[in-house]
Amino acid sequence: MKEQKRKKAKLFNLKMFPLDIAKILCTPTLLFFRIKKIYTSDTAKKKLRGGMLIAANHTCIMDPLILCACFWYRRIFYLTAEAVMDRKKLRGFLLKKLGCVRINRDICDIESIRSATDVVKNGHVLALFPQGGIKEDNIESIKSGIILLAMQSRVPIVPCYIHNKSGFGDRNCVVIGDPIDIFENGTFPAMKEINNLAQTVMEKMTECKAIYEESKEKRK
Amino acid sequence: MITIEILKELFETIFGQELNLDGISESSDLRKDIGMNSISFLYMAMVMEEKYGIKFNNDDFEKIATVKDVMETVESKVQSR
Repeated sequence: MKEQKRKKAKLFNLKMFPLDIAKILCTPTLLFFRIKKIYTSDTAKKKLRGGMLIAANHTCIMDPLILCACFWYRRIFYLTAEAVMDRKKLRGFLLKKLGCVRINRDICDIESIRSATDVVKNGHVLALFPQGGIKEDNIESIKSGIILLAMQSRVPIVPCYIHNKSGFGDRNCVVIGDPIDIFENGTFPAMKEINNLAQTVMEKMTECKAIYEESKEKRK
Repeated sequence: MITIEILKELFETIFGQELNLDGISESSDLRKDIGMNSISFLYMAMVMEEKYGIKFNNDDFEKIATVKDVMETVESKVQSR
C-alpha cells in the first residue's frame, strides 16, 4: 500500500449540483438547529480539508442534517443502508442525488465499499454511523468496516459525538475530536489490529461524549 | 497458482488467532468451520485484490462458501485478467 497525496474535491462540479442547491436551500435550517460546536483540542478546530471519514453516533433521524449544518463548508456524503434507500423509490432517488452511498449490511458488499472509497479518494467527506443504525445514546460497539474503509482510501477518521436537543431550552451539539490516522506500514495488519483500531475510534467517540457531559455540567 | 498452503499462510497473517484456522482444508466452510463474518470476508477480498491485482464483485461472494471456492474464484480472475 503506497503512500499517496490526499486529493482535494473540486469547488465547482456539475454532478454535485443537486447537493449544492440543497445545501443553499437548507441554509435557514442552520438557525433552526442552532448547533453548538465543541472541539476536543486545537487540532480538532482546524477545518476539514481533503478526503476524510466522519464517525458519529446515531440516535436520531436528524443526525445527517446536523452534521451537514455543522460542516457547512464541505459537501458531506453518507453511507446509507440499502434498506433505508429502497423503502421508497422517490426517497432513494433523492438520497442518491444528495450524496448517499448505498450499502447492503446483510452481505459482503464490496461494490459499495469501492464506491465509498472512490468518494473519499476524490477528496470528499464521507460520514458514517459505525454503530450500524439508530442506537441508544450509549456508544457500546462499532463495526470494524470503518477501519477497512479508512485503510482502503488512506484518509483519517474524525470522531464526533452528536447530541440532539431534548427540550425547548436545549441545543443541538456536536463534539468534534482529533482526526485519527490509521496506522499503515505497507503491509496488511492483522484482523486483531483492525478490531483494536475500531475500539480506539469508539473510545474517541466516547471521549467526545464525556466532553459534552462535562460542558453540560459546567453550564448548570 | 494459488494453493491451499498459500491461502492458509495468508489467512494466518491477516486473521491470526481471530479465526479458527486449525485443520483448514479445501472443503472447510468459511462461515461455519473458520468463523468468518462479512467484515472478514471484506478484508480477505481487499487483501486478495491488492495482492493479485484482481477485482471481486458482490456476486462472487454469493458463490464463495468454502476454501476451494476462494481458490477457484481467485484463480479464474487471475487468468482472465
